[in-house]
Amino acid sequence: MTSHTHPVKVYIFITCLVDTFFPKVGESMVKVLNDLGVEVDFIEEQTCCGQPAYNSGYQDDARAVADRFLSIFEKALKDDSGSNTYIVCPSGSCTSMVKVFYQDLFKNSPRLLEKVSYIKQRTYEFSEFLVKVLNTVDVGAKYDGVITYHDSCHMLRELRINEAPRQLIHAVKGVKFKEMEMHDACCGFGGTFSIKFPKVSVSMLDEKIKCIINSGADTVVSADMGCLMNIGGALSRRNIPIKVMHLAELLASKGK
Amino acid sequence: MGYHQIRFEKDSEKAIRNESLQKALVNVTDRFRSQRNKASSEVPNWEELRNSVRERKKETIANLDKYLLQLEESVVIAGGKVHWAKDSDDACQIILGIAKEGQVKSVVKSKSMATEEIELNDSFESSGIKVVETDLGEYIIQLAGEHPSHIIAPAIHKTKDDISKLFSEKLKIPYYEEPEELTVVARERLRSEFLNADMGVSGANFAVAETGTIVIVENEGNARLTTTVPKIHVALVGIEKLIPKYEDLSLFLTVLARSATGQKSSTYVSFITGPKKQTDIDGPEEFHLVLLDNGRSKILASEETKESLYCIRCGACLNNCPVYRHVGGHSYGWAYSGPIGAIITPQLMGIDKAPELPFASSLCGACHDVCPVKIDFPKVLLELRKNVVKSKEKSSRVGGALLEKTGIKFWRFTVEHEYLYKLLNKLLHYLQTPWKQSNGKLKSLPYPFSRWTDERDFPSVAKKTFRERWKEIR
Amino acid sequence: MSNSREEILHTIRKGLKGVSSEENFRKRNFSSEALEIQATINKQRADLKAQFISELGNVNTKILEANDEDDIDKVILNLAKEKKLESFSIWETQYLKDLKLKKNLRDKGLKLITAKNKNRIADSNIGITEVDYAIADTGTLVLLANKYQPRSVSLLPPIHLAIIKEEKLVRDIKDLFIILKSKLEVGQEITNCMTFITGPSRTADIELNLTLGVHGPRELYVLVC
Repeated sequence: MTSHTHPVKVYIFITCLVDTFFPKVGESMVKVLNDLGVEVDFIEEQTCCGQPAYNSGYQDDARAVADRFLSIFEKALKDDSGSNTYIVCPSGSCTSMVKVFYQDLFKNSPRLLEKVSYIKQRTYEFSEFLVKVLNTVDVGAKYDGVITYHDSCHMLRELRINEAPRQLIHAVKGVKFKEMEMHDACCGFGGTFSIKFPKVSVSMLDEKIKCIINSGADTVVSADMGCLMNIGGALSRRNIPIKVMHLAELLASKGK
Repeated sequence: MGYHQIRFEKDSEKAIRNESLQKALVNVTDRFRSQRNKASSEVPNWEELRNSVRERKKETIANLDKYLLQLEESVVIAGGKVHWAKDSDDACQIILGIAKEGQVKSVVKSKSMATEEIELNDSFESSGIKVVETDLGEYIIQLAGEHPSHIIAPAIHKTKDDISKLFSEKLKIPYYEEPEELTVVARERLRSEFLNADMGVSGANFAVAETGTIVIVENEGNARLTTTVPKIHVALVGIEKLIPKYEDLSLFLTVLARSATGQKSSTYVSFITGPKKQTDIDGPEEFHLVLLDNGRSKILASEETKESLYCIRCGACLNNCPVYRHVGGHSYGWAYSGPIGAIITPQLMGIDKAPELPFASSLCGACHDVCPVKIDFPKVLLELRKNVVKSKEKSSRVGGALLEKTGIKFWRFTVEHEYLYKLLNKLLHYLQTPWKQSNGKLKSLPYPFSRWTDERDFPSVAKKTFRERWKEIR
Repeated sequence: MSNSREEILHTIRKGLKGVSSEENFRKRNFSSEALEIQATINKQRADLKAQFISELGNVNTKILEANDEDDIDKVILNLAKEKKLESFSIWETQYLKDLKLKKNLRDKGLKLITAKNKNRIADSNIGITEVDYAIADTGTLVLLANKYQPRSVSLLPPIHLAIIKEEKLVRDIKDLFIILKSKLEVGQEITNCMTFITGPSRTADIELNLTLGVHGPRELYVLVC
């Protein structure tokens, strides 16, 4: 529960995907937070949380990159005199890396585990931050369309977040929500899995696309750009006119 | 019949192109998944149960030597014999030895994944001993000369028509269309095999250390027949199948059938303690328990992966795995498939024989959610991936592994130095231009990223990255 | 072989690094737990019977009704007539002897086949048994093998008929194992073979189509009295 006597400040954990390929998602997140009276800051030294190396079996390399991540954010937060400071991330997957997997990655370094603990307590995935910390479900967004939501795997099964995004979507004016079949099935992205076993990945993706189409939605929303670039990449290649949108973009939308 | 070298990518691509297999996989996984969901939701303390069975397995593995010795003692007291097999060859030799001593000419088998693992049927056949699989699914694949493609429903990759043709061809009978007719044929043929066999070979779902009882869960009755009619009963049991106490069975049996098929209880459960007693009218005169190691004892040395041994072989992970759903069991190249196959095959065979398998997963975690003993498959897979990378580093092979390692080192250097990271993004933004389409996405990329762009557009590097935009919007 | 045994144990102990925890489980008194359970069961008997019958219906088990012990005879003879049964095999338990089933069936012209010859018992048309326990919440019959209760009677003939006295009912598998364990606790010898039977034999190995009567009995009849 936030005490609104002290202003809330958010340090954005942008993720390399959003930074490099989908900056609009980051901009949307900033806008939504600003509109809710939250001060937003961005630490420029940040790059990556280390997940690609961790998932590929290169744990030493992942550790080095993760250590850098922790140091950068720890310094910024400790230098900050405010008390309601958080790290907010527009990705269930990257948030899981910090909140769940850093514990395993640093299990043999007690000193670093302290840093992990300090950081992960303050780290939130975007939708969970809005609903659980800011206690907000209606951010004043407007969108005219039929939306279906894809539960990304880490968000659903590591962070156990599936209600918050739906509550936020339902509160957007003009939105009609349609739950698709197998909304919690993996879309086939899995990071490097999509390149290591592309035929399997695409076979899984085919099924997800079918479910999206069958739902009758004209827009598919998720909280992970990894999944959305996979789904969006197939939709555009096949000329299927279904829009792909990150939750933050939807919440920043003020009408079509 | 043997298993060929594991080639997951190649075999999975073939499986994906097989339309009737795809239909069968959707049918099986949808059905088993919904049945398991229903059956587990009917048990009010399901989560508590999962924790309890996991604890019991943890206790067993943490004291495995002690429990194995207790099991041995209990079985001997009950009049049975215990044999220890360190690997496949050892196990086959032991079982052949028992057959030779008993002058066995024909064997009936009930379903046992452990016997698939050691390729027991090949050993029998090379020794001139007739062996007949009696589980209907196993009977079907034995006739077809194939391996099982699912842990509990071995022939599920075959259509009704496949099976009708197979029976007609191999058994020299007319083409029967209905499953009922095919089942009657199997019943009649196998009944005479049961009555005439000299030895019955089974597996076991559990082995209770306290009482020396082995437990076999089934629906058809063939395991009951296999372990009742022939005069010699041999049970091949992996050493990890132990549980400490008799009453532990009530926990395990509550979760097993529900997780596997969604049944509250399978049709038959046999609790066998040694051979028949002197005063019993029927039952085998000899009971042999063959304990199989074959790499299991090494697994428990690894804190990170030892939970692989908690598995009770229910198949729920297969039924909920999106990868298995699309590629089927044969793609995993060995007796065990799906998530459990992906974690134990590399550990039992050696990581160099199955380096693809730990990566044959998107780490979605659906398996972890349904596993009755709560095996954290993603965690074990990540540990195995680390082991694969380490083992590749040792071997000085050039090629794919070197490319990947170089890529990771390059990535690491870039993300550790922010100015390089920014520079690279800027560079990529300009370099990508020839491949950029009107929709702003990239239609092709050089290898290995071509594996993405072959069937999907790839996003383009933004003109202004977020950090550049931040300066403008802050 | 003993070489393998030592190797396996050695590898296990090395892997566990001598970190073998002593299990601190609370010592249970199964005999007193069993007494408590039995008292509860006795109170709930009518409900348990209803639940049991309902569950039997869910697993393709056919239920025969008999008003009293004299009726049991008639019901079974009716079944024999309906199914045109020519031969039978049966457990040699005291209760079944008291019911004079063996005598009555033979009087009606059915041939008795004893379990001593496995080939012949496969030819009998029906196997008649009692049960040692019955589990209400899953519709499961529990049969223990001994010299009066051969295994093949409930296995080889195509029809199995089980006569179940109400007092054999327990609520669930947990109850059952507490009771069984209480008997082991006082030194009773464990049976060589205990069998749980829940419905007739079945398979779904062909395209997941359910088919009854694969290897075990095709039909299971239960007479609860």
